[in-house]
Amino acid sequence: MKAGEGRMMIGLEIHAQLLTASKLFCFCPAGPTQSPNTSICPVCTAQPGAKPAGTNARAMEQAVRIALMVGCTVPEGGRVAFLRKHYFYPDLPNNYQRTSTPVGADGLFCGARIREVHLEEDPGRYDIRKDKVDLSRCGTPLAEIVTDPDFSTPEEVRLFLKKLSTVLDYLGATRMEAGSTRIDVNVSTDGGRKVEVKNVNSFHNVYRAIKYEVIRQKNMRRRGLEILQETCHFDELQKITISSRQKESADDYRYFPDPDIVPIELSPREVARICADLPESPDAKAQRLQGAFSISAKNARALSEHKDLAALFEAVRPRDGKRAEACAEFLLNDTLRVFNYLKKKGLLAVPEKLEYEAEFFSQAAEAVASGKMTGKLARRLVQARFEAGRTGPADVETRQVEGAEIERAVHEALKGQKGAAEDYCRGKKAAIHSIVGEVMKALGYRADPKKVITVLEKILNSKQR
Amino acid sequence: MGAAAGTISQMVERAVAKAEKLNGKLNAFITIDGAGALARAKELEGQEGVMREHGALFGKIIAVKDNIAVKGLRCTASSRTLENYVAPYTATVIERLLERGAIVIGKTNMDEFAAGGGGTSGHFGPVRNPYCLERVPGGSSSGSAVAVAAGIVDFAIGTDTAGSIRAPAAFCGLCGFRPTWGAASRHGLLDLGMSMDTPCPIARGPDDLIAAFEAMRGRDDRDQSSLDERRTSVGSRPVLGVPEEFFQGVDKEVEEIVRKAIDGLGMETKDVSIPSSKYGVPVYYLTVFAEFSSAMQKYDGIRYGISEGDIYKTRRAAFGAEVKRRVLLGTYITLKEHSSRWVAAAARVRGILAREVDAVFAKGADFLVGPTMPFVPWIHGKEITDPLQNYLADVLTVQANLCGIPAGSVPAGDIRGLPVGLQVHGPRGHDDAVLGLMKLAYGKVGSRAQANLKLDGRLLSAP
Repeated sequence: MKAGEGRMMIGLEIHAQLLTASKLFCFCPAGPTQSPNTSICPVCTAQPGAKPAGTNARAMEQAVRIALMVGCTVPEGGRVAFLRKHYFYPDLPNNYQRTSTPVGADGLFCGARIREVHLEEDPGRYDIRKDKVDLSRCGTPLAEIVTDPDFSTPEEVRLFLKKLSTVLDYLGATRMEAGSTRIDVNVSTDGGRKVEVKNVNSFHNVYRAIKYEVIRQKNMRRRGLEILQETCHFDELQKITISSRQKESADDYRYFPDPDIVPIELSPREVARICADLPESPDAKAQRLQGAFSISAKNARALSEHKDLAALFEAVRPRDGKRAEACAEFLLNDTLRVFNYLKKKGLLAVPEKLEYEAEFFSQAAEAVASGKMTGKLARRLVQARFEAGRTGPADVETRQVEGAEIERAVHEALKGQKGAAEDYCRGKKAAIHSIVGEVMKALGYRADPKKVITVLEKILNSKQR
Repeated sequence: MGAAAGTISQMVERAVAKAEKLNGKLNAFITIDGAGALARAKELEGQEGVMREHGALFGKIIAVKDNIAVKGLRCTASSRTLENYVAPYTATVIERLLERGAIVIGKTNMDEFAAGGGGTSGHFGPVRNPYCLERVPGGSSSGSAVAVAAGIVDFAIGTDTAGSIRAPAAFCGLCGFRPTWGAASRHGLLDLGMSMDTPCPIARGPDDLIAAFEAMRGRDDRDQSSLDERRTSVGSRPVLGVPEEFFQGVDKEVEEIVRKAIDGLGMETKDVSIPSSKYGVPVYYLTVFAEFSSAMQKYDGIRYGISEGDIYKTRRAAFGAEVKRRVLLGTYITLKEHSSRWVAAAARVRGILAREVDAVFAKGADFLVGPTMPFVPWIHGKEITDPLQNYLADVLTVQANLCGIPAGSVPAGDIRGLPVGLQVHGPRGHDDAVLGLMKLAYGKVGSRAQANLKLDGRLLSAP
């Protein structure tokens, strides 16, 4: 084996939009807009003469929080200045991007060294095919987290990003909309040149991009081709990386201090205050939940990976280990499914005060565990409570259906399911499930499916005779 | 203007008519907004009761340099780039003047992007000195100065990055004041050298100057570098520091007039020295090249301004020679391989210079005084063609910009009808003290010097 062979070095630059009410250097609202070029002003469109209105203090605080959570230390003296990074691009109205000196450096997170965390402004969006620019995003604050090239497998990167996303979720410091976090990935294999995959738009695609890039570089070597230092982008549809340009020399962005922005001095007191307000880390939370509620390590860890679920669990405060485990299971199975569904639709609304939810989750977890309530009904109830815009749980009937009512529903369902019933009678036992499904649906999932099956089998078997 | 003026509308009509009539000769205005100014005058007349009480500048007719944004008016910075650019917002300092009852009648001519000292480099042609049409009015706030000197407006607003308000004040026999950097908001000022740019008033006498600055000054949330700073620690018997360096290379006649004017103030003087001031011009130009090249990045023809297809063609066609020279030099010196040698070195020497100036103020000098310009206005077409020589015209004024301190120019006398200015520097934040000294100097020397000046006869007979 030749020197360096088989060794892979991967480094990341993670750009996460910070959750702030307004942009970094002006008073325009930050965040997604309905139509293009609506959240703009003379400052973020770089009208001649417009000046930055000062650095958004909330953005600075959020960046510091992130830096501290990934183990960075605030630079000595706490001085953060902004530099201008010059390049021409249609989505960058000033043709320079304002980017800060580190707000934190020399961190260690999930096995990777964090070189620095700094603050910068997001450019607008340029649609190269339509040759159109949307400047609404321009000036949105970003935190950039830069790692050393410490990863040697795509899996390590995936784990790192999973943990990072949990921490960011805990902090509530970043935007969660699709495309609000973008990652540049540096990959070099077998001691070869560095290839930079730019602007990967989700943590999941980072893994895919690296996988693809590793194979591509391996194939090139096998064909005796040299890996050149280059920049490419990840094509989401084809799931491949496409070369954008080859680098012959380092870019010269002509960095120099922005004369319009007064550097910020983070006082030790300010840093101490931010530090004191940081949330518990996910690892610490997992350990604490496991100890305090005697749940399994696996469930404790899983809960710690979901800030909202862990908070609900703690609001329920299960009285004993058995209840606690049931509650954890209910949260991690049924509740999580609903949350993911709602999140995807952008409809998840978790109230700030969770005490009012505790009673429901406590009872629902027990009911599901003991088979008194179906998972499906429980999920519907969860959805009713957390779906944005819904008035609350009142519009879902929760009364459990028993005996005669089940029988009536079964008879009703059989009228429309003659084919399935015949199949069953001819020995195709699996056909029963579609009828059970119909019955459950008709009953609003308020019956125990086991009981429905019992009733159904009784009726079908009596018909057979 | 003055007492015999009549209604505000009548005054505005007269000013606009005069501006239009003289513009063929002086080329002071790029835009004259007669209709807008008259509408504004009518609006003010409607609010007369309220405004008389609260509007310190009620009915004052003003002109604004064309590198300051006034909503709805073209803002060209005298560049082809922005030939048709209409500002979508108003600069904070102008907003504040308008709030107090001022009326803007137009936008004034200047050197392209304020990068020049003669008033000759603009896309809309050279500005003429009203005391001698063959000569330059000084720049870059040339049109603002000329509009005041020709009696068109009560006062005007310009900018000063290396002396751009003081030079035309000196060459046009006016009072021009450059505040402490940050004392007045830069929001709405087109960039030249951002760490030195300041909005400035220019007027015949100090009273309008003081009223205008009082309106303009103070913290603005839209410019992070703006401050509320009023320092008043000057003693009752202030001492004038006279730096030997302020007279090196100065025309003998100019020196004589300025020394006489200093004596005429009747204040204690003290010889001082600022050895590093000889580096002022190179340090200034390195700094302004770097900052200007960065600021000019935005003029790519995509969002506003002229476009000639691609970005290279656009920039080649849009900028004048001096702007191109500065952008190219600035780009060169900010390259990674040169930045530490040029930009960082300039920043270091700038720091040394500022400390020397601080030391002079700390050791008993309350102000620094000397000439504003080393010579009298030169003749159009006979400007020094070597840019390096040309840059030396800023030698006496750049120091205030590099140090961020307040400075002003007051008329001191004339040489065969050509005005000479007395320059005053004060410590950072002592804007009121500098204006106070300017008022005193105007009373003792300036008003008489001004009264001796005669407008070019051809202006009086203008068709």
